[in-house]
Amino acid sequence: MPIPSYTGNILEMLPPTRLACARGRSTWLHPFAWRGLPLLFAAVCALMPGWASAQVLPSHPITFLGGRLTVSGDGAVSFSTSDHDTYFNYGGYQHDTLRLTRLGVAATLRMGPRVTAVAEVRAEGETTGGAWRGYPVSLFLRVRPLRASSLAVAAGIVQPVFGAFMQRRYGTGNLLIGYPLAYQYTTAVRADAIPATADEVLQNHARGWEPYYSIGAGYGVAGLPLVNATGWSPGFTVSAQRSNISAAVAVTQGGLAAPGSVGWNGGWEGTGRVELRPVVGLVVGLSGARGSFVDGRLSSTVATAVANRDPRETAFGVDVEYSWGYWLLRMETIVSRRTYPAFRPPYLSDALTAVAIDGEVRYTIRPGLYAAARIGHLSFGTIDGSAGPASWDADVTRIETGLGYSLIRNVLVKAVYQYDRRDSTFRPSVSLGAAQLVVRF
Amino acid sequence: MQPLLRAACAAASLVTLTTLAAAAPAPPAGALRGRVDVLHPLKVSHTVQGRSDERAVTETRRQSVVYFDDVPADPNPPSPMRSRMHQTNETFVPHMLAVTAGSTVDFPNDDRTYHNVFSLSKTKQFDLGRYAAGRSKSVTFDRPGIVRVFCDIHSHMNAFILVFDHRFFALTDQEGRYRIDQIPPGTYQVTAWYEGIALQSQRVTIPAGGTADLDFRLRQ
Repeated sequence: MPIPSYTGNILEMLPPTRLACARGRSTWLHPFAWRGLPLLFAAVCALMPGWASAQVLPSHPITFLGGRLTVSGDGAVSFSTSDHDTYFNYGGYQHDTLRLTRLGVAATLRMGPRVTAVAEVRAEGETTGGAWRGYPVSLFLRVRPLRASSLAVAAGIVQPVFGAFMQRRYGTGNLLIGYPLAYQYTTAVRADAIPATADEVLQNHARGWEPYYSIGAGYGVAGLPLVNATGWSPGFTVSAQRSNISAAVAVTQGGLAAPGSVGWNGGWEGTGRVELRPVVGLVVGLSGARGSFVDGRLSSTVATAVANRDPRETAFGVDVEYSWGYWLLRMETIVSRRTYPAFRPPYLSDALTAVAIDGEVRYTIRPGLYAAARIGHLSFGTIDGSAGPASWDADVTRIETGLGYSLIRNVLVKAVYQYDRRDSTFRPSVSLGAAQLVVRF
Repeated sequence: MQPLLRAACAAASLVTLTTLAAAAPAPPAGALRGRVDVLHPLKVSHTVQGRSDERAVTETRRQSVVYFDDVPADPNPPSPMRSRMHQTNETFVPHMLAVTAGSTVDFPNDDRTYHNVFSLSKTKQFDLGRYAAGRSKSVTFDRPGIVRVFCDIHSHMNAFILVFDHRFFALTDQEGRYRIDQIPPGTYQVTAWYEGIALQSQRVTIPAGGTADLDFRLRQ
């Protein structure tokens, strides 16, 4: 009787379970025929020493204290060909989204029927080397004050309530490896350094990875994305759910593009989101945000501006998800509008607007294997410079397609191809290949 | 007696003896019963969002499967079964099924949300896709083995389906009791299996027409 090799769930490997065949034949179900990648094994061992020693990944939530404390986590290792000359995927120095190694652990402690403490911490660094950084994604206390209501109030370091992708940006939630442009692509504006004229903005056209401005910080750092996907902000949220509608409002110190974690923003921002589920499988989300985003240390300088002395960030988002059978479709649009103070002619009196559109699709080809694709476009409005109206940054298009294969239920391997194009003669396009290993528990 | 006649008589005697032997009644079948004690049963919890609160639902899993390792010759091959594994309150109900090879299991969705039942097990790989409340899809398990079942949307949902190509197995009840009937008498190795984390095998003799008792104590 041939011994079947292991390709499925790791739980099958143990213990030695023998399901007898008729007529005296036997089938061993757990041969250690699986020859996993050493890297995978190392990742599993690093993340889950207790279970790794037993060669088992847990298949149910890890709970303590009679189920009141739930712990989960994930890790991801990403590799890619070089984007170092074009910076399409860079969110900062040595922060290439396609080349990150990330670890995250989350814990939820139910302190009572209506009080829950939530903590999620993450660490990340470039897979190929460089400094690591750790940060809290969430650290808050959630209280449900009313006995007959779903109303919940959370205070502390809170999750952003804007947009759909924020809820699935880590681990297996992201179908591909890259991020939608709105959540990652660095535009040519900053919060800690601001332009004195409209021409200064236009001089930094298509230079979002390191724009320079004459007011504020003199050193070069990456510009702001429309929404920062890895930051956190102190503040509070109020949420409620009724039937097929849920809503959340957050007030945070720090905003969408420049969250409080960046450390240069002292302003407050309000964000809100409403989610509708009219039929099973369809989710429609509406998001909005408004607040200050310029570094608080520049407030005295901003007060001397001839116009726009109260710079503001305003954003709206619409997202739709529909799934049925083996298909999953998602679409998200974000419109962003920022005003900057005007100091000298040619005055930056126009708002800096941007529109991001992303659509993605997933199809499950066979058990454990899916194909996914995402296409996104980020376009920018025009401002009046000394040479006439011009787009304040270069439009960007991103196409990413790839496969995801689950080695076992908790371990996913992704391989993608990404093409980026910038409407600029300066470093206009790049084709990239990337792979990622994701382990979760 | 002529040689030809002697040969004919011998042949006739052989046929008569063979026929008599074949017509002899088989020894009466026996039964096996007992109890499986799981010393530290799994307690699995997940949080359920209530209208105004959160509560942890804790489920203690006590059921195990008892099966024969070396199986007697069975004149009655196992017939396929039809079983159900519901998706109710984001839980597979029952958590464990034991069926014969060739059996079909229905997976009705009793919840108001999508579920996506799948398995990556070597024994049977399947993905039923997303389907809504009130709908059901089915899978036929044609090979013996262990099948781990999950939901792609709700990561805390999981279940076991054990597929046998014989009929000498039983799922214990919540108290750990089991019973297997219609076993040809003989000595066999019997195994108790629990959640893929505990296992114990023992030898037992099934008396003709009688019932043997066999208890297990499983420790993780």
